[in-house]
Amino acid sequence: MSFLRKNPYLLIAPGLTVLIFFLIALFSLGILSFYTFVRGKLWVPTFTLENYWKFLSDPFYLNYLWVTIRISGECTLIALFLSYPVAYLLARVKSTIVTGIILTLAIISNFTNTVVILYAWLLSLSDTGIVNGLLLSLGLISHPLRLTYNEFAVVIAMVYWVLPFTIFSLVGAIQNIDPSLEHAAQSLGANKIRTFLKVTLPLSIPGIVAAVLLSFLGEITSFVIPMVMGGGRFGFVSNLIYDKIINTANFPFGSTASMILLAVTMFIGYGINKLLMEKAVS
Amino acid sequence: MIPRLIAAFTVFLLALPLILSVVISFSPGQLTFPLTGFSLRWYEPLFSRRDFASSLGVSLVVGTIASAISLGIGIPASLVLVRQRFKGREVIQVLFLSPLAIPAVVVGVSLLDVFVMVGVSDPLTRLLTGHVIITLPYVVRVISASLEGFDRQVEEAAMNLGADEFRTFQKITLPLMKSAIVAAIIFAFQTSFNDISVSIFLVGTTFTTLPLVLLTWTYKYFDPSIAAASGLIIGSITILLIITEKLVGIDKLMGAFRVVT
Amino acid sequence: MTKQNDIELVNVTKVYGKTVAVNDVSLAVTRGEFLTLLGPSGCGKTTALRIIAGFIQPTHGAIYIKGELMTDIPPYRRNTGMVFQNYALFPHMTAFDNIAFGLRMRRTPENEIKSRVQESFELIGLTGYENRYPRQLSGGEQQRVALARALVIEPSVLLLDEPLSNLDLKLRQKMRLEIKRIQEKTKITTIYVTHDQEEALVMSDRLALMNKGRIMQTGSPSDIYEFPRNKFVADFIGQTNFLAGKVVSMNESKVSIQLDNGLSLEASRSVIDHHSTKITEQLNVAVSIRPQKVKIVKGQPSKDLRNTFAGRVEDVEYVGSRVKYHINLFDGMGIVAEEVLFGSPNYRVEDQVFIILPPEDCLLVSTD
Repeated sequence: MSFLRKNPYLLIAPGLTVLIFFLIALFSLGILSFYTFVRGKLWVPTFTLENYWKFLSDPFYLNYLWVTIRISGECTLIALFLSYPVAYLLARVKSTIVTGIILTLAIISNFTNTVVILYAWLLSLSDTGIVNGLLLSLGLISHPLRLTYNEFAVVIAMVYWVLPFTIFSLVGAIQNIDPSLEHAAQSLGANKIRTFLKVTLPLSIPGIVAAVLLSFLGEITSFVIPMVMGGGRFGFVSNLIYDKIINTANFPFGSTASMILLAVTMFIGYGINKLLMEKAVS
Repeated sequence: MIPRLIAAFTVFLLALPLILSVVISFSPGQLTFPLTGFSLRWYEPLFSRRDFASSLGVSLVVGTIASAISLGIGIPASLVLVRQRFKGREVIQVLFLSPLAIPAVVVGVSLLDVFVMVGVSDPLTRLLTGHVIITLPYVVRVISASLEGFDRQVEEAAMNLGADEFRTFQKITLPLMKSAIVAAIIFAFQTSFNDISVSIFLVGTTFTTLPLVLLTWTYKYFDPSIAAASGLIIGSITILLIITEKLVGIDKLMGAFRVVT
Repeated sequence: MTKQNDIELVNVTKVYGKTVAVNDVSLAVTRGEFLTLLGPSGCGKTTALRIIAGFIQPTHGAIYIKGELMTDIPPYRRNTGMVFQNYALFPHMTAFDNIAFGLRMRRTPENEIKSRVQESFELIGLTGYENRYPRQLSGGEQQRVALARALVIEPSVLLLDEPLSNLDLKLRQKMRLEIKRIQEKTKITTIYVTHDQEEALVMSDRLALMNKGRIMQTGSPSDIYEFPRNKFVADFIGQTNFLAGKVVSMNESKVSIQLDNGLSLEASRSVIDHHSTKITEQLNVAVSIRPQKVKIVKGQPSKDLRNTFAGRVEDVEYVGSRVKYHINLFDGMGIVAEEVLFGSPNYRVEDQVFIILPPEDCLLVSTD
């Protein structure tokens, strides 16, 4: 105990070294965003705002931002809608088998490689895949729907990826709602729907906010899913960054785009967090 | 009724790709479901395509070393962060968790930027650094959480009986942190092994990781060999989980999962 | 510091920021003695114990164990054996390994460890439990293992921090005697911390009552019970009546007090001198008399008895084997009298009675 007391910085030093290196990396990201790109060379060290101007004034690039945010928003909403019932059942059900199964599923889907899962989705969503097969056999459609390499595919895959996080964010919040509150409401005459709307839902808002935060931030920063499922026809900001850095070797612009993505992420994260705090206080 | 339907649908949705990829990996040729037969032919490319073995090796090596480094850094750091009050503690705590707040691509790009500026071109160094940075927060979070609930009196009892700080740490603290350490190892390794967005900026032309190779396979081949790779991985994870369960008890692992998410 | 004292605290003070947890405490514990630090929560007793164990460094003052200065020595070199409130058994080790731990730290040879630990199990009556893990033991069993673990290393002093507070009543009473028995058998110097006065009275050779970081009084259980030296002690141990008043006059045999309500009281001088702080004329005091010493009679008592007052029974508390009468002396001053019961209570509410406060049972505590 006294060893710890006498030299805390010693034990923290290796960690700090790593983190300071990381901070330097972020700093260099910032620096590069102000450099100029010249074909043939890597970059020219100057201080210019042309990259930022280019990104923020060209609708082509702004569109990436818009697509990222829009699709992420859709995914978050869908994920919320799908995960709430699961979370509710998980929170209220006493059976450990059910909890165990869902937990295992969540863990395995989290640990399995994204590429593999995307491949499975591409197969499932293909013209001869299970989804089309089901819809055709149920007579809901007459010929296969184009479900791959487009926005739909991206949404499905992202919702899938985000589900475990939203489910568990909500489970925690719902578990904290005392079931006797719902019973009280029902004994006072509220039916199940009204109980849900007036008691459960409002009380679970912290969980909803947490779920939204977690999923939305994960989605807007997503890289592989839009890349693979989108088929190259469109992309998220991360894909733009990749293209600029790896394909064009335009480090300055790529860094600028990264800085913008970082800023948006921080802003939204901070903003929603602040909302949470204010809601909590009131 | 409707909520239950939605819930069932969601669970089905969760399970679908997992089951599908395992099933497809055994398909004889037709990519339909249900299978028309049983075959191991798609496991063959795992051996014939050289990039699989080499990238698997890279991922395993980088994952192991990066996790080890993160543990070596993260455990002492967590000890200090949880148990000591010192100047700048809160700031440093946030700092340790900061890589989680940064988009993975941004982590990758920023590291590439600094490596190019400084002149480090070796992919192993680049990858190791990147992977330590992204695994360290998980280690610190899991270990810190376990240390916060730690009953210090057991350590005092040990010291009272004659064990100095080091022996107390070795004989009491560390063994009692076992399940947290296991959880930390699993999360760290998993994060490193499956990483794409950071690694893609740090790999070399021939020195690359398994997920990235699989990524190229979806463009180059797009065949069930990808599913086979996943079959192999899922099989290994299952075995790993069983071993962990025997070692530590699955409820601790579940708890750790919740902490991290 | 004489060699007879196994433990000595000399002017020990511990300050945390603005709070003084232990305030200039000096205490000596002789070899083989069972001393209890007794007091309400927050009085500093646990802090004092932990200072002796070495987990807390005092702000001022010195600690001596067996005559050696220990203030700067870390806990693992003090050779004290501590039993913690939550037992703090090592959950990942068997009962055997728990008890053996201290011996292993001292590099005792394994065969000696085996025999000594076996003896421990016999001492605490848990032979056969060697391979059980703490989670497989009941609260009482864990407690005994914790005790054995501290004793087997043959420490200079045994320190116990409220070891019985997590047990239920019957078990607590049983374990009290167990611990006392073991202590008498091993003759080990012991410091025991508790807030339970009954425990303290039953187990201790000597008590030190603490309040707000200070020692209020030390003495044998009967000393402290019969002759509390100040208001806090009188109030904390057992129950007592306090009658506020002022010293009017003193002579060689008695002290005259006028109570606030005008009634006069006499206290026996020898008792006062022996057991109170210095009493002077005009001193504001509280007369302290235990309920059991207050006599109740129905009819007017004889004139040569001192301190007789008329009163009315306001309340009767029936406690099974005893009864407490809450009596109102005229003018609102209340007094509680306690009697052992044979059958039903002698007096009822609204009965007019007389009470007698024997002068030799009236103690004075200064309220200045």
